[in-house]
Amino acid sequence: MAIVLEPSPNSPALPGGAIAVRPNPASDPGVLRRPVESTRGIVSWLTTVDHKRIGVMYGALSLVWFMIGGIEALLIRLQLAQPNGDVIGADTYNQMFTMHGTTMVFLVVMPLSSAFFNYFLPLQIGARDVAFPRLNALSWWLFVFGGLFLYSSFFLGGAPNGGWFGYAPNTSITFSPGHNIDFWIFGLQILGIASTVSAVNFIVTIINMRAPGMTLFRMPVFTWMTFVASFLLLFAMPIITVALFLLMFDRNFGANFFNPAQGGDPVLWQHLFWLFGHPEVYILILPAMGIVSEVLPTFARKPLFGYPVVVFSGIAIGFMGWGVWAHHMFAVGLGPVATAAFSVSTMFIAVPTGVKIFNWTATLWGGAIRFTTAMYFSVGFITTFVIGGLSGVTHSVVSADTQQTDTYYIVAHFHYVLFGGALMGLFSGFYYWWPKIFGKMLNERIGKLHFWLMLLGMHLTFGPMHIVGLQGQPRRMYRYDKGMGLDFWNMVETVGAFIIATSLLVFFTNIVITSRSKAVAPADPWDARTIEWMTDSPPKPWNFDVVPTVHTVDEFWHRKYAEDEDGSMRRVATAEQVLAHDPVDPASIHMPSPSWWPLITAVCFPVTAYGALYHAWPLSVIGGIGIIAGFFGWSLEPSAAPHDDHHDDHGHGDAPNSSFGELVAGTAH
Amino acid sequence: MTAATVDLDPVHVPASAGHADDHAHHATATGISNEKVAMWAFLGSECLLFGALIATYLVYKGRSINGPFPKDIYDIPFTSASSFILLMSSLTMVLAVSSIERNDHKRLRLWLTITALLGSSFIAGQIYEFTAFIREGLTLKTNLFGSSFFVLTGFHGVHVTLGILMLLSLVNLSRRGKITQAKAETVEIVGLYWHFVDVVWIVIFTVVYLIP
Amino acid sequence: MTMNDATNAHQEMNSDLSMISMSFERSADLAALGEVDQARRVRTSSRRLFVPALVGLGLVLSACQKHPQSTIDVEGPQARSINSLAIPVMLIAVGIGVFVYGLIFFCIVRYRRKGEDHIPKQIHGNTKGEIAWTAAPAVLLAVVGVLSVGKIFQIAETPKNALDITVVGHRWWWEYQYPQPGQTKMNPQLTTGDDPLDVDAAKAEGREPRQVGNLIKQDGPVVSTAGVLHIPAGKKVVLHITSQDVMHNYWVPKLAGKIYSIPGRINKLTLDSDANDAGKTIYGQCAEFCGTSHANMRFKVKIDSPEDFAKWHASIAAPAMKPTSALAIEGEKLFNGGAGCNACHYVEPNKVNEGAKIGPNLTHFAIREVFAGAIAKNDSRNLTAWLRNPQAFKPGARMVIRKLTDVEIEKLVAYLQSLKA
Repeated sequence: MAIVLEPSPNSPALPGGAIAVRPNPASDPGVLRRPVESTRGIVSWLTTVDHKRIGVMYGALSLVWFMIGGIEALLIRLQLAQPNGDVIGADTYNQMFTMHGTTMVFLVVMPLSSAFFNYFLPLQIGARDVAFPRLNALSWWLFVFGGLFLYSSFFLGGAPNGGWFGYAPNTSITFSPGHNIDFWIFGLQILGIASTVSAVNFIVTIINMRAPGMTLFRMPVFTWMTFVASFLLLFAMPIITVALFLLMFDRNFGANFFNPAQGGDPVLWQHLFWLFGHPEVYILILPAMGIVSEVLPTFARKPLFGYPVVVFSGIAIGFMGWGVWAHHMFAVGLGPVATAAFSVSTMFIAVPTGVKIFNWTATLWGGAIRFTTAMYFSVGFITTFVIGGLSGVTHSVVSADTQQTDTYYIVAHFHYVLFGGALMGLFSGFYYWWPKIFGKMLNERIGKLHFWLMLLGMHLTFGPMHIVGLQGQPRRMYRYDKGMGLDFWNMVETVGAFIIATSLLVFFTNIVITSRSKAVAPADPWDARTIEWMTDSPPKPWNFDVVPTVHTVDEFWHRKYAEDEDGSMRRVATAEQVLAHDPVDPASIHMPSPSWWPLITAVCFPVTAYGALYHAWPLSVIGGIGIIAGFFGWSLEPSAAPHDDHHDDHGHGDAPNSSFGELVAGTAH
Repeated sequence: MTAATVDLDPVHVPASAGHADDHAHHATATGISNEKVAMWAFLGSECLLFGALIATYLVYKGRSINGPFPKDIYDIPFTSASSFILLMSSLTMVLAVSSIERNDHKRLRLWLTITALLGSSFIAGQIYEFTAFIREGLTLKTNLFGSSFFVLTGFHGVHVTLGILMLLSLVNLSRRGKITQAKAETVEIVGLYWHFVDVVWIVIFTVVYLIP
Repeated sequence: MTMNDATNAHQEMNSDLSMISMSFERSADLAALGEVDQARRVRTSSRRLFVPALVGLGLVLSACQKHPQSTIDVEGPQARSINSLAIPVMLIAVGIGVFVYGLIFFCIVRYRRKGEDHIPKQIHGNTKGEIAWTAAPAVLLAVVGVLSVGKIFQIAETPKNALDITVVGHRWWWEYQYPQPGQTKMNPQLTTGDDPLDVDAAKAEGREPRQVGNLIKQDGPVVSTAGVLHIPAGKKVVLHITSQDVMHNYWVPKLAGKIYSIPGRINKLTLDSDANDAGKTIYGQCAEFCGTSHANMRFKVKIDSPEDFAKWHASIAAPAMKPTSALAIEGEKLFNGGAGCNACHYVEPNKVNEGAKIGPNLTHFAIREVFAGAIAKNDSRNLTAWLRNPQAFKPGARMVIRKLTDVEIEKLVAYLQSLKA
């Protein structure tokens, strides 16, 4: 769809303003008693639809998965520390690397990005919540139950062991007869629904709920990258959904999609998987690039160099990301013409990526850089991402890639991009936005220790992988032989992995210390530039007492600083002065009420999946009916409970009988 | 449209903005309701879903090793008839939307019901076709044709079925007086979904049945 | 045409470059061959060009150990040709990396904040600069792209007058099908035919057997062996690679890049070696995850002199030797009877895997240096351990065997060791 519509300054541009029929308490057909609006107690968390609380929960749970995925990584590294290692056996090892990859992609980096989307996207565009708060809660609960479902496999016969890429026919019923792969299929389907629903939600939020004056090209870069990543999710998820369905039909109902004896072509799986998988890579990295694009200007005290170019290069990556998938398949034998085309397209996706790097560097150039922990992580992001990007270019040379693919050289590459890149960016976000979220500053000194340990551990773990890869160590091997010359660097990598683990302990210690501290963060600790800082820390449930009118990307900065006669910048107002406003009656602001339905609906998904997995069809039917009933109960419940004290016409969008968002979700694949 | 309602910015929100405005188009940044934008986004996603399924069918076309093959079992006149029925349901859907725009609830329910009935006839036809094929020895397991045919058309059938459920929900809501004219857009959005499912069928019918 | 010329010119230059980085590891070999002077000369000239990069890469890669699967220190013309482009590109990447690091470090050292009032000039961008740093990488990548495409087509060429060998991937070992001795041509095709697993059932039920589409059809009888690929030195070899179960990936790092072994498809890979490589044993490994024992799906490539190769080729085509010792004769009986080995294994040179026969052809088992996916030396100790419990030896191994007594194992080992050429 064309994104040309911008709020005209004359029109009553209500961000998310809504007019709906007033819910009539007498005829309120809600089935469940409405949970009381509250910000305390477990029920308030279970039923919340507040994007900020959902964001916090996303962040917290992702960190838990991060620890679990990290433990899996440590087991892998322990096994490989020495040649012919015998710490965990072959089968456990295969489960570990499968779950490590699956966890880090679907349960760590994606939801951590989602945590930041959830929390900051509405704040950055001056909205009071996302477009569909209850759908947002549904996404969150599906993420919870999808992850739990996936991990329940450990207690039900063994975790998935076909790799995060799940290449058929190794994952077919003939060669993987247990339920391991079924857990992977159904778990990813549930997580895929969560991602699709939240992609729709964020896209609508960005398109429709911007504050007055917030044109698309006044949106902060993080919001832009969220926008691009959401479109990638929207279009990539259905492809993996189809691939997983085909595999599911093969495994459970004897279909022949990947059965070579009946003419099925396993290469089709690879095409479908990587047609999803490559955009997925950009889904993982773009949010982190967005965060870095917020942090660098703040601490360099300069606007982002070439904002439109950074935005357009993000969009370009989003488009070009669809035309490079077969570079994961250079050794498959697609023929010279196809490989040549994908080789060239892969090289050219490096151009917009390189442009970003140069623009970030130019942002630093001539700046007044303050080295906070957030800035450390952002600079750390750039430096490691450069290495990952350049090694990526070396893979695009097809002949070279036929030597590099499936070796540790590739493992090194994507960990530089995803660990040194995406995760460093996300940690930068933690340090940068922590005072906004919790009203307290993470300890900077401990934070810097965290940074240096993580950087050191990262380079020690993944740096030598370039070497052992070129020395011929293939991936996904539970052991390598003595005399292959791989012993030394593998040991170094294992040591590095434990240094990374230590750095995370430091981070968690920092969180604990901060949470116990009584010190309150100032309103504007970093001298920030964008409007998410133009409200309290932590923000009130309705985000802004007064939604700001936006005139420029760095709205907050320009309210604090102005040019004086000789053209240099002078501070004209303190943050407190900018934030000051007349008192507002909270009762005049309606927020959507908490609801049980997202939780109830989401919990029915794993029930359905268990039924399908064990061919216990009655269970599936019960789950399916539960899902449909959940959506009906949901659509009969007004999005906002009636307020006794304030009978005006301002209702809410997914109001009593509009039921539409719910029907949409009801048909989500 | 859900969250924020009262914008207190004195410049941009006249005190009465919104109060007087009682149709379903909420004041969003684009002027298009959130639900409609969401439906368009969702349908975009669906395009890729069906795109992947249709691509799978095309990749495997003519690669089956054991019979029966398409030419052995297709009943083109029958499927053409049921395709025509589904196409007609798009017409009745348009009539339903125009009824609610004229605030004619009786007609709305009539047309929605007819649309749902036409959709159900299509599904009935599909069930008949599936059973006929199975009787002739084509199952999901038989060959690539069976696998890709049943999965592609089955997915479409599920989409039509969900559409029928939506239509019936609308009929029910309308009967209980819950679809005001201000909510006419809900009907329109269900209509978008319904038309999409129809268009997809045209593609499937062409690719699966008509192109040899 | 011009593109080809440019490619060739560049390749010549590049092959020099790749020699340089190899020289660190190869200098000892080269010295033995009397080429040390040349190596030294090349190395000296290189120092001016890529000192930091080269020292880093070279030293790190050579780190005082032998690397039998190195992709940098390679053997054949094919692998060298890959490196003639790969290594210069890596060095360029390192150069760009150093440049960008320089910029970033300059910025973070030079532009520190000098106090709360320090507000820099608010620069929003610079169109010329941005065009420059969009265009420069694009041009550089375009050059690399042209070279890459040239190399793709060069490597995809199938040589004429090569020796054809069919390679079939199995969980977790490689089957090799050679043409008859003296012949070099093979043209394996995948065809449709009766499903070997359904033939008996169909006969019993009096119906036509189910058809399958991935049967390997050869022009004539072939010679089947496993584990060790023998190739004649200095001659091009074309491997026709497929799989009978899951996807595998055939990789001999020192000789060529990888190529997938895919059920239902046949891929081709050219291997070649230098004439003076005769006698070398090269390491190879499956590189695509293929299940439990993926790490144990290794193999060896033996480069024989043409005479040795011809001798070996003739020997594996001969019928199996009859056992002579009493123990081995007992073993043969067990093999074909009590232990049931023959349910999965052939001991006839022309028989290839199909249907229930899923084990390697054992006709000349005793002359293979390694067995069990090339993870173990072929000696009595390992064979005994293998027969006692294959799954403990190689996790997930598909070999199913009843519990054997020590005496039975001894007999079977004796029989297997009698299968000489």
